[in-house]
Amino acid sequence: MRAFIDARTVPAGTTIDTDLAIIGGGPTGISLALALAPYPIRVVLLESGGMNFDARTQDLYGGPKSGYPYLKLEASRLRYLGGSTNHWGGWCRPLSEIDFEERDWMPHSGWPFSRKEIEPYFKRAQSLVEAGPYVYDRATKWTKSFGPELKLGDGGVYTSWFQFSKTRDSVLPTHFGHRYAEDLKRIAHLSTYTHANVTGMRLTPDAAKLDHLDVATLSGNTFTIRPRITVLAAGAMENARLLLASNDVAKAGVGNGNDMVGRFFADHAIPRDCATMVLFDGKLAPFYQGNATVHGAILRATLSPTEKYQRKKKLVASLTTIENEVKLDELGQAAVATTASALGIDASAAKAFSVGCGLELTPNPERRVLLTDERDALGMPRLSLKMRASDGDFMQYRQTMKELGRQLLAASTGMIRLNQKTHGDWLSVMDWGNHHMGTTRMSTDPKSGVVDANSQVHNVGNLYIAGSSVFPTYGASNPTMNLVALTLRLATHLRKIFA
Amino acid sequence: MSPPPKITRRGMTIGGIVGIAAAIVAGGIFEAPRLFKRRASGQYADLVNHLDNPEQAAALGRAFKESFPGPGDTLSSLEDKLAPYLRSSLTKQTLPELIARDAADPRLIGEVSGWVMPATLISLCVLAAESL
Repeated sequence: MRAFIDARTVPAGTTIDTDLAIIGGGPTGISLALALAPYPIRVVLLESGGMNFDARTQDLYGGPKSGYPYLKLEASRLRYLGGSTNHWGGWCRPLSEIDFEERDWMPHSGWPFSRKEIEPYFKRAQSLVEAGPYVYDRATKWTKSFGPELKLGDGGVYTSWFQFSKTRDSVLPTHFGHRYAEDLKRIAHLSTYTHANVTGMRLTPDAAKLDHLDVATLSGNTFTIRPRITVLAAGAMENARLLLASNDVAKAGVGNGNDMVGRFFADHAIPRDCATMVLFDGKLAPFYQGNATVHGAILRATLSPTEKYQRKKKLVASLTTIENEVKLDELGQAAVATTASALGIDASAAKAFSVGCGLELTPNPERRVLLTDERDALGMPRLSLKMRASDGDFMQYRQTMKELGRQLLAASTGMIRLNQKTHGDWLSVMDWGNHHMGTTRMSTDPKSGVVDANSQVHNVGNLYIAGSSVFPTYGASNPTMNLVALTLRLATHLRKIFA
Repeated sequence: MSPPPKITRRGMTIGGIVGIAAAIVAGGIFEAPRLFKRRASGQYADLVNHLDNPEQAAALGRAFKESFPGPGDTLSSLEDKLAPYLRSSLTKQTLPELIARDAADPRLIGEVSGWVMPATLISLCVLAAESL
């Protein structure tokens, strides 16, 4: 067992040589270290925090924001071992095929490869996030004993399934830091440094390679890591900040020759109570409102547009959830009574439910993070965020919900009220997923992205980026399980290089 | 211990009448909306009275008219065209059949204050608003 090394105790001025440096001890960095454990590669894992929350460390994330109402920059993520899995909800679902495709109606969309490229890694990722057996849309067969799926007429929306990182004792869901700390300590050639903040990524004079990393602690200690290869895995905001702030050799920052670093920031829009769903018979299987556990899989049903319908109607991805029961106003009661009686249906037991959603945003280069003149306690420039979302995305989701409403009517199951219409309506109920993505997007062309299809920074031979910051298009699925799968793919690539 | 109360034939008859009366009163309470429901009158009455509750339909029709994007006279001329169309349709198909037809076709779906509803039903609601 190798205990974690407190970076505050490393003699100042030390230079540590290693094969691989991983910057960031979140789910990405931990998954990568675990995946490389069986191979004779000397790895240094650098984590800014310790094992638990520390306000002074967390403050390093702070910064101003403009544009849309959005969460505080220091609120959406956690800066200690395990990263944002220390407060995630555990929702898991693999991205769909269409999420990887270039969609002609969605500017800047598409990955450099199809879903097939990442597919072999989903099951191992599922295991790392501890979401039980890999079931997802096959769950329909598993959950019959809990009740039927909603009966919908033929159309563009279907019941889709999430799985959850599971409860272990009192831990819900898997917090990567606490869960895998002992596993990391058992890796003989891994050195994990806590309280170690990378404050500079120093390029060789020709800017073709990364030479070394500057490391600093809040106690004032500094030392150097000199790796053969570096993987930046500090989250979508910090990845961009480190690249932009490391501007001593490349004046625009590392990997930013085409002014792409920090652009295309994304999150999932989560408008609350965006619709009201009425079921004429009032019957809703419990897996729509909460979880159902079957053979070790914790499942929850959502409603999604089919890929065929997305393509036909040119829609963003979305996942709709059915939430709590609500009361209808007089006009709502009139709508239900009038419609049900016209259909010849008894609606005396009808129930209404609030509807929520997770919505993909169209990639937008102007939604971005930038450096400011303000400095944090380590002297690093703080970030500012320009947040925005387009009416088009909301309207596309509205169309999906209208289709769901039609399908409910066609099956005589129920009906829907679309609660938001104007931009102001959507903003008034807007929440966000805390799913930072996109700031170092993947692209085969250096002019339209920061990393190539192997996650290597364009034109910097030994620097890679991992995590959801490389997602060029986002889908509606929560990113954690997907970024772990993508990281496992990167581990395969790195293994070949070191071999 | 007192003896059990004697149940006489007269007592049973009175109890039965009271019970039936209570049932009638209770039924009256539940049925009151139907008994005293306003029926539509005027040129669209034959159509609007296909609906179980024309008053509720009229409320929906008024909500639709308030949010109708075009000028009021456009809607009025639409009403004049809607009525013959609906009369013709309702001689060929029942209202539930027409609603089912609409629900199968995304082009025949509309909104009333956000409620996603079949076009035939929205049309009848608009006519109800004219009739009550």
